[in-house]
Amino acid sequence: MKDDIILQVENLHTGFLVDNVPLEAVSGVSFSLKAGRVLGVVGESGCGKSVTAHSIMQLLPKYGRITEGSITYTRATGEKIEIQKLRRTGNQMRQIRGKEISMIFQDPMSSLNPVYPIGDQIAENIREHEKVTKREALDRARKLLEDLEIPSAAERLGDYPHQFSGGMKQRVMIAIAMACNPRILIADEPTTALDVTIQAQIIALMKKLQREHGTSIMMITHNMGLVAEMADEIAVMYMGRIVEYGSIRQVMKSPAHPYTQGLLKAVPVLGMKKDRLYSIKGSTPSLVDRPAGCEFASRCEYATEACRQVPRAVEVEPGHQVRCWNYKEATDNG
Amino acid sequence: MADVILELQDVQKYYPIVKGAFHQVVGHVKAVDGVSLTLNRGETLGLVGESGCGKTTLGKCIVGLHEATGGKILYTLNDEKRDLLSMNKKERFAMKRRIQMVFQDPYSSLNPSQTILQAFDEPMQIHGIGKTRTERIERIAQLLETVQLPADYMNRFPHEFSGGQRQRICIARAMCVNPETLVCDEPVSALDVSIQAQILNLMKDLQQEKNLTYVFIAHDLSVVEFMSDWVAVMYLGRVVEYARASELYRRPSHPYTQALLSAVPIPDVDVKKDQIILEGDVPSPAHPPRGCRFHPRCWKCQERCKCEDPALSELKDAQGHCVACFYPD
Ligand SMILES: Nc1ncnc2c1ncn2[C@@H]1O[C@H](COP(=O)(O)OP(=O)(O)O)[C@@H](O)[C@H]1O
Ligand SMILES: Nc1ncnc2c1ncn2[C@@H]1O[C@H](COP(=O)(O)OP(=O)(O)O)[C@@H](O)[C@H]1O
Ligand SMILES: [Mg+2]
Ligand SMILES: [Mg+2]
Repeated sequence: MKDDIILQVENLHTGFLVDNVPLEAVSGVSFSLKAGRVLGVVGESGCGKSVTAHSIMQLLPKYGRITEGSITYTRATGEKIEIQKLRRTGNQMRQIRGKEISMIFQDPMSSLNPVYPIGDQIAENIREHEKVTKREALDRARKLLEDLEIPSAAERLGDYPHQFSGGMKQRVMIAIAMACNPRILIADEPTTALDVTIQAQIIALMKKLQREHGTSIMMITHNMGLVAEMADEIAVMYMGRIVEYGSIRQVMKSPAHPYTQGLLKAVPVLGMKKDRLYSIKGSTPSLVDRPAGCEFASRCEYATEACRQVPRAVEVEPGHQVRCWNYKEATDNG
Repeated sequence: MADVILELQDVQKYYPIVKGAFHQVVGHVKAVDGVSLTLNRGETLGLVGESGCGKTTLGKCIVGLHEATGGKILYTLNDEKRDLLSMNKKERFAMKRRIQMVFQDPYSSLNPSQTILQAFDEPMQIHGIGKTRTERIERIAQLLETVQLPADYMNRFPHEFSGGQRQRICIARAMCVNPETLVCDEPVSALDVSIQAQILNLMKDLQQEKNLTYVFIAHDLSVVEFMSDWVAVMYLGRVVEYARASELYRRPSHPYTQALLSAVPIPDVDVKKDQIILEGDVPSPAHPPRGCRFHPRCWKCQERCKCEDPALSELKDAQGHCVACFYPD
């Protein structure tokens, strides 16, 4: 069962219509999530991480849509469902969303209802997907909060979101997401707003849940340290494309894309004091005037004539892919 | 001999908690509660700690955006130590030229209706920098070049710039009155890593070039290590550990520092650390715990820690490495 693919994304294109101008935020993303594994998705803000996640969850705004490609989810029964073909608010999507695939957002406040006690919010989510009494649902909510090490869980069921600290709110979000024991958890920067000691608590909890339930996780973050700690596989995104993909060891130990190399060199690493940081020149171009050819070329040390064409994904070694014409030079010098 | 530029002695900032129609003061948030530190000219003091521990408040007290409610802030002026808190209004105002602040959010710290030129010209006029407008414009052009932006950007408005560009502009604006000391409050926290690296390098270059002194506030311990000569770790309004950066990261002695450092994820698959997972949250600074403020979360807590408050004191043979703990490592 280990290497079974539970979610397969193929050539996904997602765009928005902003003031009648089409804007493509995700441009041909392909990856697979293996059962019981953690896929880390990294990249700087605006590269399309959240839009990819929202596409999978069918949570795009009205003016956003998947224009090409497929998202294939394999159910426990082996049945394959093409998510992009489902209606957003249709029955089948509602069954999957929140039950089989659920999501944790960066900002817990935006997804918790301020006027309902959190116990009710967790219970409601359970009752939406399963035929249980309110009492049973509340009982499960309490157990979940206990699993998430929230002190005096039973009493806190009646508390409102504002009565919880940031770290506690994020635990409640995890409780809601895990309430129906989902097969896939998409965590979109779940700890970005939290302090490191609280982040460490949350990550430890997520790892524990993952071990106990065998949940497959898609972990979105911009923190290279977090992926190194959590992920089995990693996808590095830049301007709506995956520029590098591989096992966490392959990509962190021998990054082949100049952008991945740059990201790894640009962060100061604890205990390895340097005098200067490597810096990637310039900044990410806007999606509105997306460069022709390789989007990274204007910032790249290895850019050549070839980069006027969009690079195809090539295999560096089995399981390790990169979208770069000059990755050999980059790997030799990087 | 070290050239001390700034010395904090037992600095306090209590915010009153008011309630009811008569705005009765029912308590105080002890945001900064007895901080003593020194800082040498041309060096960087890093302030780290989790949100709410009082970093911003302390920074604002140093630049004078907040009035400290107790203690002394001694600043060296013409080889004489002067207490900022006992200066008269005029003197204190003149200090603003010497000590400037750079904020975290480059979006809200620039007035959207002012061009960059206007935003720079105002403080320069107030502090009498550049006699004529032409002189000032020339200086602004130079400043923009120093932060690697084209001079003609001065005629543009903030919304025309990206986050990284805005932070460069904010740094240039702080520089326009020719300060000696910059208090930088999370200057790169809102930026992506590739932009963060550019700004951090720029700040280091500026410091070298102008012999600037920095108070560098951040919650990212790796960033603070990169920038700082000395680091103070804060917890609930107090400094719990203070040392040379290299020493602090090699030999953290306070349990809180150890937990904080162990919690930072390292981008290397071969580094497996033993993480110290702290329990619970930081208590409210309105009701700090009795005894050592860290004791309710400390795994080394003894009876003594629950009732006695440990003072920040120097470890033996440790060249200025100070810890506020009864049982330091
Ligand atoms: N609702 C939306 N409407 C228009 N553009 C959007 C919307 N959501 C995201 N985008 C754009 O799509 C791109 C990718 O965004 P996103 O996936 O949120 O990035 P991130 O990698 O930071 O999560 C960005 O350029 C963003 O501006
Ligand atoms: N203007 C204010 N009035 C009342 N309390 C404040 C004010 N500013 C900050 N505080 C409180 O003081 C404490 C320290 O805050 P702050 O200095 O912003 O911490 P940090 O910058 O380390 O996150 C916090 O508990 C905060 O809620
Ligand atoms: Mg996002
Ligand atoms: Mg702050």
